[in-house]
Amino acid sequence: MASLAEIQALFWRAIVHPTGVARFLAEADPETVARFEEVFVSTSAFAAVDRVDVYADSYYWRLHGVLETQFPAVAWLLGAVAFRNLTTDYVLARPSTAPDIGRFGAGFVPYLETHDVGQAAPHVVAIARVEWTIVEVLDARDEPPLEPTALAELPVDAWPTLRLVPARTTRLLASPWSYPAIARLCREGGAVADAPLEAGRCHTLVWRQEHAVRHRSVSAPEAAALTAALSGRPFADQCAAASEVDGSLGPAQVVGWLRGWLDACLFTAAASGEHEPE
Amino acid sequence: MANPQRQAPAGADGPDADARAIPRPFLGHGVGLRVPHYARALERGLPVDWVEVISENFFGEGGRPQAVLSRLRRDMPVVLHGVSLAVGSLGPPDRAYLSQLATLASRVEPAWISDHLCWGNLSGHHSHELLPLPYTEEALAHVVDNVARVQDLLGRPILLENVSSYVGFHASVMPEWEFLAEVARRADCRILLDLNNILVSAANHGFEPAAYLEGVPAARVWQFHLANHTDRGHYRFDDHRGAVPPEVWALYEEALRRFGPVSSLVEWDEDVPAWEVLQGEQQVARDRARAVLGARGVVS
Repeated sequence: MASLAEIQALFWRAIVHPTGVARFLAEADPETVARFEEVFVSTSAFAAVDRVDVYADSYYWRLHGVLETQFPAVAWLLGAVAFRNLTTDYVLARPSTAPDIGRFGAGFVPYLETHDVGQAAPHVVAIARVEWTIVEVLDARDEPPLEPTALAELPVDAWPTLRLVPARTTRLLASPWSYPAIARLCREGGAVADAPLEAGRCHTLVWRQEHAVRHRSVSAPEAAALTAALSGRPFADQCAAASEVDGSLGPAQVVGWLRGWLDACLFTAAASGEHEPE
Repeated sequence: MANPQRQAPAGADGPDADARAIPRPFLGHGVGLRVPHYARALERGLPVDWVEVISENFFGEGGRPQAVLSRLRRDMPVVLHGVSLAVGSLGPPDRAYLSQLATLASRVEPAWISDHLCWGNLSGHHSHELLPLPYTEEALAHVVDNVARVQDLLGRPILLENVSSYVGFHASVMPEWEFLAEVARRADCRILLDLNNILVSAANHGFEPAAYLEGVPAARVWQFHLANHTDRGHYRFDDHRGAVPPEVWALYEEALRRFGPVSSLVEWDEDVPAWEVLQGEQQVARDRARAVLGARGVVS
């Protein structure tokens, strides 16, 4: 009689075969086929091959479903059949290694980068990267945000050295494609043909506020200032970064953006002078 | 053996032979918390006796899931129900996973922690399926050993749930209920009896659901699951889509008569309905318990 290890090994091989258990057996050697009959019970109404196939079907559909939930705009851009084929390739190449099925998509973006689909359509990779960032931000650790009032009484001479500490839930992503525009079209059931896929220079800000993950496009000068702020550079550098992109912008504009950043809870602490932010 | 789900005596002295005094908490009637009801839970709470949450969905450190969980825990008992323990998989349980579960448990202080009597991992890969075990002495010893490890690490007994199954094994030497009862007895764990799963497996393997109820030790049954399934013609499929069907309600009443007041929970996972519909199912469960057991069947 087969041991537990033998039964599980055979069961596993049968359910992860990408074209179903009947094909698995058709392609298997006679010894495996005989073993299958020795291990699994068949009845006249429900053959063993069909019984095991229930699990094989569920295995692929469940993992596909997770990816479809985590990468909705990617699924929409590719269409149902191409996305299904892509996720099947991914399941085969990178079987889940985490107990939490919610982590299954963690390797999807690097995989997509090397896959034919990603090579042919780099915008899909860029969109996938934003969507995985949204997943990561969803349940990252809570931190008390820096209140806008915290900077209200900052002396004027302290502003140039003001440094900010970003929240774990704040991410700024640069890409040639606008995720917010594509995501909106996807959400509203638009046609893929209408998606703005001309390459440009876009930045997408992803953040969490009041338990909801949000995203928006960020202009090039604001992105330059925000990039400086997120990397811990002082306010003077943030202003300089914005000014490099658009020479007409001064500190007042950056202060305006900063107000919006604090309203959105993008930062958790601030310090000026020689002090490091806590 | 053509059909492993034979009806057999559950040990020489019956399933209740080890029924030493295990105080069984009674939480009343609850629902399985699902994402579509997070907003309602966060804003107004949920008017039920208790909730069960999928443990892995709350492994993250913050955000809305944790906020919802904290809010509900303030209001009522919470049970952590895992889907990834895979206690029948080869090798010991994943220590990193158990560590995450223990951390969550220390934060939530759940009424109890449950998972499934199944396997699902092989060679470091996770199927995320609740795969049935062959009911052999080898599998029994392995599961008992793993449950003991889990309980040692968590510092508490766990509940194991019977899964719906579609596959039977020629190697099995005992029916599922006997295997479950023996695991519970040897590992000193508790049982989460999914009544829908009993009906699904009974149809797929050809046994009497009543035999299952008779075959498990009453004192160890701490929880019921109630849900729906789909009849696919030559087999039944456990999809938790739709309202609890009459057949499951009938088995629920039979189970109440055998086991007495047991914390009961409605699961609805596919096409999750509006909160009011789900709560209606919870109220039906409560009303039926009251009809069978009187006042002791409900939490006042």
